[in-house]
Amino acid sequence: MSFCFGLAAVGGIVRKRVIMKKVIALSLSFVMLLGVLASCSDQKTEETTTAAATTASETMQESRAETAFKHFYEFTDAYGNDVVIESEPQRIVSVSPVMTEIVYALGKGDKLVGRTIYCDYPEEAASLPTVGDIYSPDIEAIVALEPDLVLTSSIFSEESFNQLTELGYNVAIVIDEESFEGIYDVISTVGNIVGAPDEAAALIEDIKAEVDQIVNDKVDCDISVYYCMGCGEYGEYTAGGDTFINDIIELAGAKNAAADAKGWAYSLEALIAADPDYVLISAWAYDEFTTSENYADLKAVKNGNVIIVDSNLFERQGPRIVEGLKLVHELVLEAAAEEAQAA
Amino acid sequence: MEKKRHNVWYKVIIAVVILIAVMAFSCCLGSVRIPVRDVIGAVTGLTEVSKATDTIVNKVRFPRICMAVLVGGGLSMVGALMQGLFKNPMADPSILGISSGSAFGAALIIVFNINFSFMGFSGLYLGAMGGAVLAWFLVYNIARISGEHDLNSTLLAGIAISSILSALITLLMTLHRESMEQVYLWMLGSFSSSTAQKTVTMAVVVAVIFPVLIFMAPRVDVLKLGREAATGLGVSASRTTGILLCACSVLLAFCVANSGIIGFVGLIIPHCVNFMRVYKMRGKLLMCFLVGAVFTLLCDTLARTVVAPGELAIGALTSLIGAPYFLYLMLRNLLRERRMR
Repeated sequence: MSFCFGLAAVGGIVRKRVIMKKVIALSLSFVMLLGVLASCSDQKTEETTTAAATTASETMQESRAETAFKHFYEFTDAYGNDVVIESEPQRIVSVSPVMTEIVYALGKGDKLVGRTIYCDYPEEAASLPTVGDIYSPDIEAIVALEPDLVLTSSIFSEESFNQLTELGYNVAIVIDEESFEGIYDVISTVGNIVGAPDEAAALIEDIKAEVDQIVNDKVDCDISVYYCMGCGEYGEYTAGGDTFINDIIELAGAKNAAADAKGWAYSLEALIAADPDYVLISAWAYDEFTTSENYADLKAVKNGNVIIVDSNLFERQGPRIVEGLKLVHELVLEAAAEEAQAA
Repeated sequence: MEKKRHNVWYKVIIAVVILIAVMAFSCCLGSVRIPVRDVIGAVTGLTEVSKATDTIVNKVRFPRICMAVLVGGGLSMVGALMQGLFKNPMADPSILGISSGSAFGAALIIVFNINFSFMGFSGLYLGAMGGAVLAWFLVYNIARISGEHDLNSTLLAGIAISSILSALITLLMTLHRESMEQVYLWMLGSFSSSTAQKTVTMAVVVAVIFPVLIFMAPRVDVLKLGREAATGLGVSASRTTGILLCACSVLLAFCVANSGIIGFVGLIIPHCVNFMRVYKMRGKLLMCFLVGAVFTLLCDTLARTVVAPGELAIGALTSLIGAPYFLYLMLRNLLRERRMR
């Protein structure tokens, strides 16, 4: 402030333009430099705190080595970095609905301190404070919860990852695979990270048992199922042949009507050509699908075989994927029964 | 003449005071409620605050506030220079094609999921910078083909390159719909990914470019008299234009890489400063920096508090808030003129 007044005074006194120009430019750069130095000192304190944190973790590691304890868990995250979890996490912020579900399924729900606004299962999660969503997590809210681990899946943006790691927080980005088998890997990794490897193994065994039961209950029925993720003006979106939803449908004993497509985009023409027997759709798209002219000629619409499903059972690669599998399997059984009756 | 100089300085001082006040005010606001006492304690380090409070105030909010100030000020200065150089009140930073270049680089990184880090800067940041450099390289060299730095060619080349890159971005988005939302959100602009490192880099860039612009500013006033008159007065139109455009491009590239495309600021803040009756380029640049900084900071603070923990797109807020205020200023000015007639 006084500096500015001084500058004004100088401006009043000095008449010569050239000197005035130089004075202004120099003083302004001086002010800027002050600002830079101020932010630099912020960085220096950051460096000293990270140094302090590193020495702290080093001493912790040493003491652990003395007691012949290795660091808690080490794995490779979605960016290919080796992540070391020093000790069992006591305050976990989950920035992914799938992670929330898995952590609760492993019985470590009490260690969760934060969730995204979309983490709606199980019901106990509703009592946790929210930190935004996975695309734009609220860094302030995450910091305020003082987590020792931020658990998320690979949709998490690199920018947010850099921000959190720069602030010194552990971020575990678990790779999600585009396959049914990948889900077992995810559950086992998360189990190791949160300190529940046995529960994870047990959960995987349970899921595998249920899947085997369904797969072995094969019926001789060839129905085609179309999983509708989006329809109408926005274009047709479904699960192509290389997605895990395709795996679910195939495992249940049905055929994915969009198996020839790759990825998630589809076209109305291809849908009409495929003419699936059953259509699985979310509640919000149901009206559009059943009333629009575009789909009126599909046999699924005509026979009333457009079925509302909870998309979270299919799109979240977590333990509830088995529910989705069962749902499709029931359709197959139903269709087989109808066929048998008609025959 | 003396009186006018004094007037500018008073306005500058008031603007600086307002800026500091708004910065302090913004430090206290956020998606997490922190009492003012703790905020002051965290900033000054005098009282003990919890680690979380210290981290939030000093490492999350403060870098973001500084970034909003620097980017807002930078964009406004570039806008003022564009309007001065091209003698067109509708000129804004995007005519150089650099914003489109940045967006293109960022879109490529997002769509093809290229994950890498260099010296602490994320791939997205570097991709945006790379895109900006590419666009500027094309525009600059096309404009210089005639041998001299021609404003007309720069404008046209900027428009052409902008169109090409925008079209490419649209194609990328429609062919990769799953990334569409992310690309679009990046383009809408946000300060949420401001880290201390990025802010320090930005501060250094502004510290270097700011004196250059201030030094060259009076020559822009002379250029308004026309090329021949300017040359007669010792101001080379080609060299001045070349240096200024290069400096502006560097500044703009960093602005857009850090925050995405914030559209309204560069266009309207120079006009608001005009209404404050600051006419000469040097004072105008300074006032534009300060006013732009205050405005962008206010918008960013609103963006991150109104729907916390969510965030509003800052590009939308700057237009929503800026346009009505601008209309108000314009009407006030017009009515004043009417009364004088």
